[in-house]
Parts: sequence; C-alpha cells; structure tokens
Amino acid sequence: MRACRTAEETGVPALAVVASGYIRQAHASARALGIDGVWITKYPGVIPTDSRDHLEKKVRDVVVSDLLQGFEAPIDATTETAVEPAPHEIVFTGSLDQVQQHFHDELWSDGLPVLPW
Amino acid sequence: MRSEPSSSEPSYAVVWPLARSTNPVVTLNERLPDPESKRIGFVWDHVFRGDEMYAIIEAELAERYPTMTFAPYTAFGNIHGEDEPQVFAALPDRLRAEEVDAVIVGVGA
Repeated sequence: MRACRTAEETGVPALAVVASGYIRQAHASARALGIDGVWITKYPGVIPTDSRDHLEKKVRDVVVSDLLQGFEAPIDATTETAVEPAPHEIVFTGSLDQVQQHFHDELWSDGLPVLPW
Repeated sequence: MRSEPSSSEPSYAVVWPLARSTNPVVTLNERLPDPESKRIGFVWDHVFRGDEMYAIIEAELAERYPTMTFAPYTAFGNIHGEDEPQVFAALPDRLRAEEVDAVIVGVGA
C-alpha cells in the first residue's frame, strides 16, 4: 500500500492487487496511510497454493475484470474529507455486545474482548 | 468507556480508540475512464507470483485495448527487497520517467 501512496502522491492513480484473506487489512493500511478509497482488487483465494491453471483462471476471470472496474470507478470524495475524531470524542454508544461488534467491524480490535472501566 | 446505568442492559459510550493519524490524507488521482492508449505500469514486491499475474493481466489488457502500453515491474525495482528505502525514494522519478498513466501494485497476501 505504501507504493500506492507514493504513486498517488506523484500524480499517478494506483490500483492494488491483494489476496482475499487480506482485503480488510489492506483497507486498514490504506486508511492509515491516508489513501482511503484507493482501489483494491481482490485475488480470490490463497495464491501460493493455487495451481498455474487455477491462478490463470482467477486472474483472467476475476482480477482483470475487477481492475477494469477500478479503471472506471470514480473517486469516493467522502473518504478524503472525513474528519478524524478528537482523542476523547465519543464515537459509539451501545450495549457491551454492540461495542464488541463495532470494534470488530472497525478493525479496532484483534478479537479480544473490550471491557469498560 | 464510561458506563451509563439504565433500567435494562447497560449502555456504554466509547471514546475514539485510535491515536492521531500521522499521515496526511492524499487526494486520490482520477483513474482511467478511457483506458485506450494509456500506459500502465506494474509495481511488484517480488512475492506471491506477481510476475505470473502481471503477464496474464498485461495480455488481457492488451487484447482489450490494443493501443495500451505497459511498463514492466523491472522498471521500478523491488518494493519489498533489501534496498527498499532506495527503491521507494526513486519511485516517483521512475514513474515519471516511464510516463505511466496508472500503476497496478501487488501483491498483498
């Protein structure tokens, strides 16, 4: 994703290719790097274990078509203008279960429980 | 979090849990609504069979857009190698030298 940022800073639109198991991490990295909204193309599956035929089929059938969508997709301006909350700003309210789910959805947690203090 | 007592299940308020971002937001560049005659660069971290993928992607794009040209991943260096800092430092100049209109960056896995 850092190369995507460098390209975008240079004036060159970047499209990333990421295996499906790492898509959420890629989006989180993009957000942290200030390029939230960069196009991330999914390779479906586990790349190292795919046969040559499987890889070729997935690239032709999925990756290429997704890249073509990325070429034409407009930039989502809302991701660029989002303002980061202040350190003590309340960003969510809910039950304990709702808080756990929200932390999971936002990638704020690695899965361990979040408890009040 | 601060608990707020209620008659049923407690409701909790969550304060922003992350540290302040240190990377300023980058305004993304318009992509390629008309890919014909554009030049696409491939940037690779030299893992996860990106060489195989890029060859297939290039062939597919060339078939769809006969006037599209390509800059190979060898033009930009290994973005995940032992000289990564130097490669990243040189990347803007290399992108400009290759006159690419967009880059495909991979492979994350």
